[in-house]
Amino acid sequence: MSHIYRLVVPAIFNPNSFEYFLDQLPSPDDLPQSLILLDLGLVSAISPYGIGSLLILYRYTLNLGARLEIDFYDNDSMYRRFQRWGMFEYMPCGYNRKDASSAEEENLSTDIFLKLQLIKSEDDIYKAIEFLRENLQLPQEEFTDLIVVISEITQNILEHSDTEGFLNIGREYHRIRRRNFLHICVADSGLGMGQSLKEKLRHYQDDYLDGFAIYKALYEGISRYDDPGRGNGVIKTRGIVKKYHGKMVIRSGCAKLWGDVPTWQIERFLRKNLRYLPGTQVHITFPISVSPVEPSCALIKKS
Amino acid sequence: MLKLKEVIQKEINGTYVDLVTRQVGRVVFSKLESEIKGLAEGTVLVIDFSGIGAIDYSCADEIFAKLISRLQLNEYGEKYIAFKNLTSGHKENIQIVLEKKDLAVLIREKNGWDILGALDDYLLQTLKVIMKEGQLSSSELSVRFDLALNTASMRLSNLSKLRLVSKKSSVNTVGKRCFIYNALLDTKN
Repeated sequence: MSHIYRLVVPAIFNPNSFEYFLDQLPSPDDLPQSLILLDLGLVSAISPYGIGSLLILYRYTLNLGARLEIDFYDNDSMYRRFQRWGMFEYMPCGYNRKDASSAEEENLSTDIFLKLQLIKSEDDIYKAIEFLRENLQLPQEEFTDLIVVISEITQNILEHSDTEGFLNIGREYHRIRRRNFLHICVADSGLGMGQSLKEKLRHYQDDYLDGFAIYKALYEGISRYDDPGRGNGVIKTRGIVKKYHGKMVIRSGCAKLWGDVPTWQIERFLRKNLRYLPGTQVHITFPISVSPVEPSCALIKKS
Repeated sequence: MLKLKEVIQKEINGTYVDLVTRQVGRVVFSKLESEIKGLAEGTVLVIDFSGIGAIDYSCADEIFAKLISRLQLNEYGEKYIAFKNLTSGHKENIQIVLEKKDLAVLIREKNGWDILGALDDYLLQTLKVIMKEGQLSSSELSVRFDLALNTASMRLSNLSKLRLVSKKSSVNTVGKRCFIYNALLDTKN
């Protein structure tokens, strides 16, 4: 083991804080034979995007010959949260934790709705949809729109990433806004949008490739396939998210783009030259109209 | 008539009600294609969407855009398709994929009919007359819209190529061979 690198995970780990976290990652040349210690001691909230992205980071560092371990310290709530997300099933790394005294009741506003689901075939997408059908009572139109969003985004893993990926969904009742939200994360460690669309965007410089690939896919429906029926899914997903006043963030390779933003101001919402992470990670915040207001998505109490 | 829900449940999974993913689209497409190939010339296959949950764009593209474009390319002979019992969500998503490929299909509505996809205005006007009258010849259309006979004939022929009306050969009052164009759906009942 040549080096040990300690990466401190931010207290609130979501798409906004992710880049601060990833900036701590050493360069790929320094990763072989090294040990990456993920410090989760201070984490109080982790979004589905945080979970999905950590999984991708784990696969990436493993491929580069590094070993990754998690340090929970006495953050037992986070350890249990990782267990409930199914993280250890897909991220079988070592971890350290101090014996916490009696487990404190989790006091996080977001709860797990659909734990990590491996997406390696269309059957896995159907499984997720069946789960939603059984566990989510929404008006018909809203429900079918939600299914279309999940189906279109997860299909991109199978169609474009050349690898498998993950879907996980969190559920939140926002007490101040008095609204229910689903936080959907779809992540893979595959080709990434820049590489997938490289042939179509061959005139762009490599530095801009990832950013333009996300932009072109999200706003112009460009696809690696020439059939005019391709590329609709991502554009329409953006449309559905906008229809419900939701939020969508796509990170791929070294770029990240928030949709839906005015195209004339795109440079403000497109971040380029970020630290590289393979594949594509999508985070969607989808407001849902579950009634009654006091949520059926209340925290699942520990037995 | 073909119930789409039964096709999904028979061909894919007994509990599925959604048309999502391209793979599912390919399975359903090949079933619909074999159904349509087995029909007699001149038949209209009405596809019933009742009980169908969500339809995503990828699946709609894989099934309906492919089926309608092949139909229009005369790969299945003189056969026709129409849809019924679609929800507004189904219509919206199918509309997008058909529009993008410049295709159109007839749908039966509670109070009549409509078109999904892209259709030029002048063809839509012509189609409205045929759907109202049940059938029309080019000479009748020429009189009704004050068009040259070959223009009227071209309009009807185009609608027929788009598989939005059916065409039957007939003999007119002066003993000449002509075509009569018929509505695919009887919307009076």
